[in-house]
Parts: sequence; structure tokens; C-alpha cells
Amino acid sequence: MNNSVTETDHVDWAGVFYRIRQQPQMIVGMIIVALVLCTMVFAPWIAPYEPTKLDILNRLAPPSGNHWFGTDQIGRDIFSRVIYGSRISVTVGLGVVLLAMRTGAVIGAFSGLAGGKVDTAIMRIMDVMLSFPSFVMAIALASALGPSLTNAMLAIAVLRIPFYVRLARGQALSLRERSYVKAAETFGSSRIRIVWRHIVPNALPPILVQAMLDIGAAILTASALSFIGLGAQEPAAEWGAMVATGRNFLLDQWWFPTFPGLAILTTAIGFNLFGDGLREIFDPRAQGR
Amino acid sequence: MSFANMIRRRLLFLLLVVFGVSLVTFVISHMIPGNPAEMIAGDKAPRELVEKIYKDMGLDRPVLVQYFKYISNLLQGDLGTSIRTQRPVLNDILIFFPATLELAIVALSISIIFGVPLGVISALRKDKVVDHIGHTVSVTGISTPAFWLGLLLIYFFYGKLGILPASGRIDSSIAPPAHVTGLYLVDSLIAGDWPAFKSTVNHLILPALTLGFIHLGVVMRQIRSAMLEVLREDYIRTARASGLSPTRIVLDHALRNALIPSVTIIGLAFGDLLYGAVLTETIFAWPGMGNYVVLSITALDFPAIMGFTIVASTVYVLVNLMVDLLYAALDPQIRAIG
Amino acid sequence: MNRPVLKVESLSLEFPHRLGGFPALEGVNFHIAPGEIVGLVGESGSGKSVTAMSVLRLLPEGATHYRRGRILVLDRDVLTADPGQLRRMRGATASMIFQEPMNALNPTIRIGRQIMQVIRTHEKRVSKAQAEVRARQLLVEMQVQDVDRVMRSYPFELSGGLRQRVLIAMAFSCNPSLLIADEPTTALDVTVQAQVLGLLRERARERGMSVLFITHDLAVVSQLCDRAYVMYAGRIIEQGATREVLQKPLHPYTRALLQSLPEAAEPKHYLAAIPGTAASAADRISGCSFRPRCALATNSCSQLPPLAPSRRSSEHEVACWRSEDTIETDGSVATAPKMMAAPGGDPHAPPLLRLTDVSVRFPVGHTWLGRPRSHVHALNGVSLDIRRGETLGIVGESGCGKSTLSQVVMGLQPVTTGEVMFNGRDIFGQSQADLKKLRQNFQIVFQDPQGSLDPRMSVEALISEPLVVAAELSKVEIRERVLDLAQRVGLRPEQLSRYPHQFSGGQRQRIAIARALALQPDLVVLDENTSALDVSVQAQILNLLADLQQQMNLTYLFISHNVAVVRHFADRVAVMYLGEVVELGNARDVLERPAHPYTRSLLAAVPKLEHEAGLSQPLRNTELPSNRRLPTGCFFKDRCIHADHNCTTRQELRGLSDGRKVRCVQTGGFSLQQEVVSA
Repeated sequence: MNNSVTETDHVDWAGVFYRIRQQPQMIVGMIIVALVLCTMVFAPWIAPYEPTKLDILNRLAPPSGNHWFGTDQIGRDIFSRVIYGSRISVTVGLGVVLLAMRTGAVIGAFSGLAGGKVDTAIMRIMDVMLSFPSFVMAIALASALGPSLTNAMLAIAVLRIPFYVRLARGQALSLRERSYVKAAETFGSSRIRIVWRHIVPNALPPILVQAMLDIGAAILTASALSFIGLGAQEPAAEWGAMVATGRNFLLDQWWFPTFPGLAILTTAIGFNLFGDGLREIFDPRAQGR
Repeated sequence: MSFANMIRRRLLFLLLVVFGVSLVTFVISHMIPGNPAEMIAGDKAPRELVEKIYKDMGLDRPVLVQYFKYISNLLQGDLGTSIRTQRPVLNDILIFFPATLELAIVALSISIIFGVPLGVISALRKDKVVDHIGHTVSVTGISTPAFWLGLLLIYFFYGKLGILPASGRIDSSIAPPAHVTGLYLVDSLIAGDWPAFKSTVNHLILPALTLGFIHLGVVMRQIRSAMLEVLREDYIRTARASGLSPTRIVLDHALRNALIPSVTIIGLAFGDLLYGAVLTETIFAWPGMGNYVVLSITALDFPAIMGFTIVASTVYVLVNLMVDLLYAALDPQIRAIG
Repeated sequence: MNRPVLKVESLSLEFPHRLGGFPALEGVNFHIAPGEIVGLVGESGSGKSVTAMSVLRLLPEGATHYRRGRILVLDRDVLTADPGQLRRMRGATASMIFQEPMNALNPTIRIGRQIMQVIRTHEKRVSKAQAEVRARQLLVEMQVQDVDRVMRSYPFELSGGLRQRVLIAMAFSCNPSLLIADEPTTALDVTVQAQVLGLLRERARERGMSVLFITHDLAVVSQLCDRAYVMYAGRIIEQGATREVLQKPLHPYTRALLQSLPEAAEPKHYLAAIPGTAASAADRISGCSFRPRCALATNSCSQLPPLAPSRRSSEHEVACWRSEDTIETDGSVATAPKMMAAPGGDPHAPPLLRLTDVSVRFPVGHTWLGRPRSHVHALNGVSLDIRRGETLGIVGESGCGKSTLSQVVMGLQPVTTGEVMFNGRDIFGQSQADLKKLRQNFQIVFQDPQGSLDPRMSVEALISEPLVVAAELSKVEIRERVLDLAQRVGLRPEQLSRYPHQFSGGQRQRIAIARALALQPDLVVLDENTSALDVSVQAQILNLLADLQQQMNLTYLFISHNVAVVRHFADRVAVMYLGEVVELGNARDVLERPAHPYTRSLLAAVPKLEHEAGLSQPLRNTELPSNRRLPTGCFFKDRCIHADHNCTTRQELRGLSDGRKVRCVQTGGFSLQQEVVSA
């Protein structure tokens, strides 16, 4: 059609801002993520009480001016615990994704560029790993490593690795066939230069977008493991574990499991909306035109 | 590659996966801190008993020998004995499996029945209000902790309104239908047992809604993006230029092609369904595999956990095999070249 | 005159955009009489496709703003029609075929059902069986062999040419009064194009159907159309009978466009390129939009010229204040053509590059044991010399192996058998380090300049990259060299800090050329590097390449599917077919008096400006054999009209008296003096 400049590869920043404004959900996501990050950093200033401070006389109190989200079965302030809980959840989410992405991207890029038997072997292993039902395997791994937050994180991260391996390998393979990489080969660029100069910078954006999308999922999975007792342990203020305890008080003290769960939901929505928006913006097929 | 060839390849792959899982579970069982014999014998058992169990389990033999023993047991369907129930793990799982299957099928149906049309509508109304609402619904689905949603539903429909039960598969006052398939819905219909059927449906609603809603997000998201991609294709333009009606273009030309990639993605998301099932079953005391494994975790019952892992992985791979077949049935190009 | 089938009145439309609307059409007026075949010609950005799409209102509704005008199809205004009326019109009153046949059919529905669906959508009373009979008839009419198989096939089982015929059959299925064809043969090979065009014209004439034919190719217009409209920047600037418009053009743009064609100039002479790039309506040029590129522009051109009958004929209309002047001076709009550098290439000196019996096979698929299921035979025993200082053209259709050949020459694609010697050194027998050094002597300019330029690097970084890699120059020297290269290819120094996406296709091609020349190579491979460009820009690039060749003593391997460009630009030419060289010799000899039957049919299929009825197609079998299972004997024998029992053995390249080589046992029987081109 009419041939004005169509950008598929290069980022058109004016266009990016325009597209962000076109996506109200992404802005909502960004705001949520920003709030959660602030909460995490400023938790001691925001929380009215120490998250572990007991007040046995005031146990299972309903939400009030003193205790916005009520208190739990040993009189701890649920609001303060939810605030502090952001530290655990976000750390876990980021930790899982960083670990999985870095490991996966390196293996994937190596596999794709190495090619041949090495590539085949790595990819077979990854195919097998991808066929593991990941949550079930996370349960197995986490229970074997012993119930702790670090172990839960490790278990989730290990099982996310194959996704990044695939993604990075796919990127490496398709970029290797681009004519600008071939052109670089023709004037004698070394392999290392081609990888660092041409492949890595162009392969990174889709991998980062995927990572962004994964943070929400990682937070959810970690809280689920905590909920069934394989993650954070008492007295840590972890949202999933709080819901698990609160479950026993559901019918009479609804606030106890509700607010920590709401925190998980909100945070996950925030990261997912933000990630979705990023994908929409950086997806070359959505661009152009 | 022929069709039969493809199936052969997938089956071979299945073996590979089960082998991989068994390797992992074996390694895991050997990573467990503490002595499994002690766990089996119990806290107050005399030393001799512990040592006897230790020997009986072959734990004094070289690791490789133990592994081969483990594998050969697996191949004979021996997944070990549960510490908690003292029964063979396979027996336990066979008892609990139908309940999980029933829940998963109903939830999957809910998510597809609602997810596909909603995804299509979102795509057709891209960037309109409907699409934004649809997007919000699907992101919420993906972001909701299943265990928490289950609790909320129990609070309202059982605690506040008192119209639906909160736990189990069937009222304790009603006898389960005679075992045919193990699926109460089917069995009660076969038996013509109307009260049992009604009770089963009542018990299914909340857990299936919980699980279905989580999965709904995945389905909607996939269908929407696949539809958007297909609607941009040249053949849709041809169809429009030929004067075909919008309904025909959307349902016959676009959706047909959008379903092909979606089948794979939704199949892969079956793993999420299993994940959701573990949590949902716990919340609703649903006597399925998920509930079984959580109870086993609490009891540090490793044979049961590992047995469950192997069975769940096998089921997962089998489901994906079926998905591949479905994919091939839908896509003429795959059918021809395989 | 009869009432027109299509009448477009002062149509203006724009695409809303965050920067405030891009105009695409400005007051477009045209009409098509019953049974008339009308061409709409223009370069990219002219608005020809937008016009075509708007006739059936196929542009995305939310993203198109029809500012003004009417589109009357059989007196019904498309722009005010409701969706139901529009649907009944599409396919039944007016139907459309598009450029890309590959994706234009639904991949998961059988061909038969797709055609029947269209029939039954518009004619509700037709039964399934009746519709099937009609679908079959249509395919027979489109000269589809093996109708039964095609009816049952899925699109991926058919070749591009066959798919386009199915699409034409679909477009004809409800006997519409108007067919809109948007570059329907641009994506096809030239021999297939000739068949499809011939078929289209014949069937349309038989039915008295009107056709609106959109194309960038003036030669196709001359072969096909009764009348032609020329578009530039969203406006119609000239209109008249095809013969008038193409042989006595009035608008300076039409004249310049015709003169920038390689066919218009003597071989190895400079082309009369139009400066700058084609404008679009979105550029919002006030007055005549061709003004910035026009040699005749004066102050009066800042007023918009109306499309008005010329002094010569009321039927021939032109929108130009100065057109009457151009007739007087009889067209010397551009400067007189000069000879390019004298043909280089001493046949007796040792060749710069020598390919000896090169074959390349790619494995396809895997069996259980990981062995390849079959092979694609991309190159089959190619032997070629490239002489120092010459331009060797490689011409052939898709699947002939010309791109693989370029990869082999560049050392990017290892050969299966045979050897490639550069200056006497085997490029596949070198160590990595030596190959790296050797490679600096030969460079490539790829077909797709956008893809070959890393989007994240500035132009300066791009051009200097080979120099940085070679690491022999200081930063200052590199900067100097880059400036010098930029100047040679016609880039301004301030453009060096920009990024590839900020340039037009022609300019990106210049950047790629500058980079290829950075290391001062001996040999430059030019792989289809003008095929994505507009004709006027192609002429600029060809002229530039000729200058650079002379200034820098370059040898070119010039690969193209475009016979006219190769005939114009190359000294010698090799014609390829199914991975073989079938004819090799002086470009003028081979491409004006072809000897090999394949070269003859290739040339006969090329649309020509002068002939109105030259769509001959001397091929027996339309489908190209698969390069997975090569034919036995002569590869061309199944399609050759001259084939006989002598052709069942594999043919060798044999020398003829005039020095060319031909791979055909029959060649002796043809008279080389005969002008086959006009046959």
C-alpha cells in the first residue's frame, strides 16, 4: 500500500508513547507496579505496626481505624503484614525471573549459535523439561529441598528456564539468518563481534518482554507454594501463607484471608497488564502500518 | 512424515519424558534430608527395625543399582508405598484420579465455552470498550490465586447464602453412584440416580468455576491474539472482497484458522489446569489427586509425592499427544506432510 | 457513450493518524466504460492501490476517512451503500484480485469449496451440485489442468500461478461487470505472468467485462489496457488511450518515467533518472506535486494544474501547465544519454573468480535415523568465469539457483561439490583467518536494504563497520573514508548520524553500497538490489553503480530476474534454469537473439512497451519441475516445444560460432539471425 516508512525493527519512541496512551490498561498496570515497588521500599514507613508484633488481647479484630485490615489469630496487624509481604513477593517474583532468564538466555543463545549436535541435545533436554507439568514438578522439587522460600524460588526458576532457552534460541536462529548478520560475516566480523554487536541487542527486547510477563506468574506460583506449606514459613509475612492460615477463619473472620489474597491478585494484575502492554508495543506485527 | 510416524515419535518422546521425570524424582528422593527408613518406621521405632527397613529398601546398595531397581519397579507399575496411607501409591492415585479428571473436564469446558466466544469478540472489537473489558477479565483470570478465589466463593455461596456446598464430591447422606467410570456425573446418569446427579452438580459448581475462571483467561488471551493475526491475513481480504457475510468470514474463515495454533497453546495450558486443580482441590476438600498430594506434602510422604509427580507428568504428556493429533486433524498441511 | 461501469468523482481520502491525518488521494476522477480494460499506473505512494481498494470499500473502515467524492459502480454510490448492499455488490457486481496469490486463499478450506462458497453467497438458489459444476467450468476456462485434483486441493498444494488462476476463477464466478486487479502478477515469475495476463485479457474480453488494472509496470499496461491513467502523489496527472500515453506522453512525469526505463536507453548508456524519490499525497506539496523533481518547473507550477484535454486530442488529458511546451521541444526533458564506461573484461586474462562444476544440495526433512529425507538441488554443476572489470549478469526465474549462486560466491554457502577460486585461491580451502582476509576483496549488496542494515546502528556506524573490523585504520582515517564513501554514493554528511528506517528504499540501497565498498573490494555481488525500487529510483542506482565501477575498478556479479535491467547493465550474461547455466554469452547477443529455447520463452514472456499483442508464451508445460526430483536428460525438455528423442540425455554447454555457450542439442537447428524477440 502507500509506502511511507514502516518501522518493524527500530523503535519509534513517539509511536511508543502514543501506543502507551492508547492502552489505558497498561497505564493501570504501570501505576500498580509503581505503587507495589514503593510499598516494598517504604514498608517500614507505611506500615503502622511491626509485622510480627503480637497483641493477643486484640486477636481476630475486624477492620477498624486502628487496624485497617483487622488482626490475625495472634493479634498481628494484617495491614502491616500485607505491606511487608510485598517485599517477599516482589523479591521472589524478580528473583525467579532474573535467575530463569539469565540462565535460559545464555543456554538458548549458545545452543542456537552452536547448532549441530550440541543444539539438538540441549533442545531435547529442554523439550523434556517443558513437558513436565511445571507446578507439579515445583511441588516435588520444593518438598525435596525442604520447605523454605529460597527453595520454592529455586524450584520455580529452574522450571522456567526452558521457556527462555527456547525463546533465546529462536531469536538467535532467526537473527542469524537476517541479511545484516550475513553482511557482517562478509566483511570479516568475528563471531564474538557479530553476537555482541548484532544478535544480542536485537534479541533482547522480546526476551525482556517475556520476562516482564513472567513476573506476575512467578509471584502467583510462589504464593501458591507458600499456601500449601512449601514456601515461606511462619512468622514471615508472606501473602500465600497468610491466606493459608486465614483459611481456617474464613467464615467468621472473612478479612483475614481476603486482604492478603487481594494483595496477590492486585500485584499479579499489575505486572501482567504492564507486561501485556509492553508486548503489544514491541510486537513487530502490532507495529507498522 | 506420515501420521503413524508422528504418533510413533510422540510415544517415543513420552517415554523420554517419563524417563526424565523418573530421573528427577529419583534424584530428589535421594536429596531428602534425613533417613527415609526412619520416617517409615516412625519416631519411636527401635534401631533394629530402622536398619531392617533400610536394608529392605535396598538403601545400602550402590546408587546406580537403586536406580535400576526404581526404574524396573516403575515399569511394573510399582510407585512405592505411601507412608501416610500404607497403601501402594498407584492404588491411591487410581482411587483419586477420576475425581480430578471430572473436575478438570468440567472446568476446561467452562473455560472453552466462555473463553472462545469472548476471545473472538475481543478481537473483532479490538481497542474498543468490549475489548478492554475482555482484556481486564482475562488478565484478572490469569492473575487470580486459585486458592483465594475458592475461599471467596465458599464465603459467599456457602457461608453467606448457604446455597451451595463447600466440600466433597457428593452429600454425605447420599451414596455415591455405582462405580463405572469413576466420574460421578456419568455414573449417576448411568444408574439413573437423580439425587446423586443433582448433588454432584451442586458440589462441582464452585470448584469448577474457580478452576474454569483461572483457565478462562488463558483461553481468551490465546483466541484473541490468534484471531487478530488471522484477521490480518490476505485470505480474509479475499473473503471480504467476495462479498461473504461477516458471520461466515469470522466463523468459517477466521476462527477455523485461529483455532489451529490455539489448540496447542490451550493444550500446554492444561498444565495450569493441573496446577489449579491441586489448589482448588485443597480448598474444596475435593477427594482428587491434588488433595492427595497436598496431604502427602504435609506428612512428608515422599513416595506418594514422587508417585504423583510421575503419574501427573504422564497424563500431561498423553494430553499433549492428543492435542497434537487434534492439531493434525485440523490443519490440512500437517495432515499431508505430517 | 454507454453509461460507465465505474465512475469515480473527485475522490479524496486520508488515513487518520496521531500526527493529524495522512492524505492519500486528492480529487481523483476516472471512469471505465463497459468492456473496457483500463490501467492505473504509478510508483509507490501514488495512491493507485488505495484507489483500487476504495472502489469496494475494502480499506479498514475505522482507519479511513473518505473526505470527498463519489464512487459509482453501475450508478450506485459505494460510499453511501449500507453494509448489506456493499456485500451484495462485492464479488457479484464488482470483484477483485490481489497481488500476493500465496496467502489470498484460505489455507484450511479446499479450493472447490472456496469457489462454490462465493457462487452460493450471491446466488442463493444455486444448489451445491450446480455450484460445483460451475466451479469446475470456471477452472477449465482458466486452463487449469487436472480440475478434479485442484478442486480437492488445499492452497498449499498449488503453485503461485495456479493459485492466481483459482483467484481469477473466483473473481469471475458471479459474472461481475467490473474486475479490479491490483498488481495481480507482480509476485509471479515472468513466464507465469504472461500466461495469467493473457488469460485475464481473453476471458474479460469474451464476457465483455470491464477491468481496472493497477500496476507499476508500464510494459504490462501497454500489453493489456485500452486506456491508461497515470497517478502521481494521489492525483491523476495524465489520461488517454494507452498508445497515446505511452508513445506520446504529455506530462513531464510520464515522459521521465518512460525514459528512466532500462528499455528506453541503449545498453550500457546512462539512464535518464528522475532526481529525488516519488512523492505521495502525504507530502502535501502545494501546486503541482511533481514540481520538485521536474526539469520544466516554473513559478506557475505552484498553482495546481487541472486535468484538461490537450491541444492534440480531447481524449488525451494532462494535468500540467507546461505540457504544451514539452511537445514543442519533443521530450528532451532529461539530459541526453551518455555512454557508460567501456565494457571491461579481458577474455584472455586470468579470471577474477572462477567457479568449476559447483553443485549445492540442501537436505530436507529427517527420517527416523536423522538422515535427510530428500534434497533440494539448488545448483547443479555450474561453471563460470568472472573477468576482471566486467559486469556479469545472472538472469533467471525463482528456483533457478541465482541467489544460492550469490551466497556461494560470497563464501556464505559451502559447496557440495566443485570449487570456487578467487584470484587463483580456493575460497573454501582457506583457514578461517585467511578467509576473513580474502573476503575483504569481495562484497555483496543484498536485495533487501532494510534487512541488511542493522536497525540499531547509525549510518556512520554501518558504513564504518567493515573498516573497524579490518582494524587497519585510525579513527580519523575511518571518519575520512566514511565521508568520502558517503559523498561517492550521494549521501550528505549530516545524514550519517541518522538510522536506516529514516531513509527511503533508494537511499538505503546507497548506504548498503557504500558499506560494501568500504574495504575497496575487487568484486561486488549485486543480488537483486534494484528489484524492490521504483523505476525512477532504479535508474539512479544503476547510473551510480556504473560510475562507481569506473572510479573504483570494480567487477560486478549482477543478479536479477529482470531481463531488461540485465540487458541494459551487464556485459555478459548467464541464463539459469533449475540450477544450471543454460546459456552464457554477451548480454546483447543472448538477450536480443536468444539461442536456448528457455531463453527464448523467457524473453518472449517479458512484456514490451512497443507491442500491444505480444503476450506469446511458447511453453508446453506451465509448471516448473521440482528441484527435489530433477528431471532426467535435459532439464527443460518437459516444457520445451522443440524437445524430441535427442533431449533424453543430459546436455552439455556447447560453444557456438559467435562465442556464446548453450546447453541444448537442438540449437544448431535454430537460426541465430532470426529476431526471436518479435516472434
